[in-house]
This record gives sequence, C-alpha cells and structure tokens, in this order.
Amino acid sequence: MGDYKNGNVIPAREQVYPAPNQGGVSLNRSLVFLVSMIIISSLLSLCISMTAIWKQMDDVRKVCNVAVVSAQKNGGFDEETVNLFYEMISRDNLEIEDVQYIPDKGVQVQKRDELQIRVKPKVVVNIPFAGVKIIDVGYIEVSGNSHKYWK
Amino acid sequence: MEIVISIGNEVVHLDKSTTNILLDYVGILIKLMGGAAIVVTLLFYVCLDLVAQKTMAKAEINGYLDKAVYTDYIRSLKFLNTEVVEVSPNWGEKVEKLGDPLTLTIKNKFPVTIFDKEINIEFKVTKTGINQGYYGEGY
Repeated sequence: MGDYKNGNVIPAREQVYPAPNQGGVSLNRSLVFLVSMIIISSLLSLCISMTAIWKQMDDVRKVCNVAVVSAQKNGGFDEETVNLFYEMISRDNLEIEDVQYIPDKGVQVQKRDELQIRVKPKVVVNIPFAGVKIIDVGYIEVSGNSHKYWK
Repeated sequence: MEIVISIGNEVVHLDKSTTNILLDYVGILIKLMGGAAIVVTLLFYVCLDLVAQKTMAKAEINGYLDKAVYTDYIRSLKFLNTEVVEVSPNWGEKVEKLGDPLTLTIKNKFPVTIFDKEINIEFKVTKTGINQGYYGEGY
C-alpha cells in the first residue's frame, strides 16, 4: 500500500510517521498553565488588597470632608464637629492613628480663614497568603475655608 | 459513540469523525453562549452600579436622594429592567444633619428563556453615602 504526495505514489517503506510522544509538550503546557494560574491569582489578590486599601482611605476621606464642612459651618473645630467626627469614625468601623486639627480644637476662626484636618488612618488589610497587615498610607489632608462670621 | 438523527422518516447514522466534529461545535457554541452571558451580565451590572453611584454622589451634596436624577439616568439606559428595593431616607426627604447616612439599593432583573423555561437573572447594587453638603434645617 502507498500514499499520494504531489500526485506521486510513495511506497509504504518511505512513509514518515510522527515520533512517539515523549511527554515534552504535555509538561510544557502544564508548566505554562501553572505559571499563568499563579500570576493570575497573585494579580487578583493584589487587586483585592488594593481595593480594600482604597475603600478604607476613601471612607476616611469622606469623614474628614464632613468634619471640615461642619467646621466651616461652625467657624472652627468645636465640640460638635469633633463629636461628629468620632461618631462617624465609630459608625463606619474605621481606625485612626492620629488626628491633627488646624487650628486646634475649640479655636474660633473668622470667615474665609483656612481650616484643615490631617488624619492618619490605620489601614488593616487581609492579604491572601501573607495574613493581616497594617499599611502605612501617611496623612490624609482635607482643607476648607470658614463660612462663619464672628462679630 | 455514534449519533443517530431522525429527519422525518429518514434515519441518518453519523460516523465517528462527523460526531466528533459536531460535538466540538456544540462545545464551542456552549462556551460562546456562556461567555456572552457573562459579558452581558457584567455590562448590566456596571451600568446599574454607575446609575447608583451618580445618584448617590448627587445625594451626598444635596442631602437627599433625588428621584428625578435617578430617573434621568435610568431613562438613558432603556435596556435595564430596574426596581428600587431600598431608599433611605425616602426620595426627596432631607437628612437631619451633616454626616447622616444615605442608602440606595437597586435591583435589576432580566428574563432569559432557555428551552421554553423562563429564568430571571437578578442582581442588586447597594450604595451607601453620607451627607456632606447639607448643613441641616435652619442654615
């Protein structure tokens, strides 16, 4: 029996058969799949961790913003503003390391004077394969100008 | 494995290679349909999330959830079949003071008919925010 190649009959003894599978291709594919899976899972973990960090920072930024708006309304970081700030922090289960009020608590400022709050949040993230970590994100600063006019 | 197809009174026996090709095509079709379903669901989810986010952003400034804002966004996305599940406080009702929470939950459901069976695919989007702009009554 023969086969056809370019219209000519090839004798059976000249036919070239593929080499038996040595397992190389299969191993390579498995390795590529494994490495891809590791890379994808690492990237996903990183994304999840980054989202958690970003969300906590965004929540703290919102709370700071409300505190500054309240200070703008009251003409300084008075007791009401400070209480509201801590109430929001506890309600949203946020953790903070340090708070700085500029000017200090209880100081009244004139209309258009600058008010600033600096907060250092304690960002706690559960990183897969690494456990719970505290990330240092520095200070979050929110500023505004007083709307209240003291006679 | 051999597949036997009956067309009217005629019975067709498919050989092994044809059966394999047919099964391959069926597999590809299922994968494509699954992929399309995932993409459509994701697209719907992103649209719904965007609507909720935009409505909430406006509410955080004004101190109340405005139904007109929500309806405006929904009207531009006619393919969504939405339903408002929870609004806190009610539409147009202002919060008391700065820092008060606002919540909006929207549900989207779209019916899918597979083999004469109707399946409703549903997903919810919840957005929470805090009043950052409305001082409260008296200001």
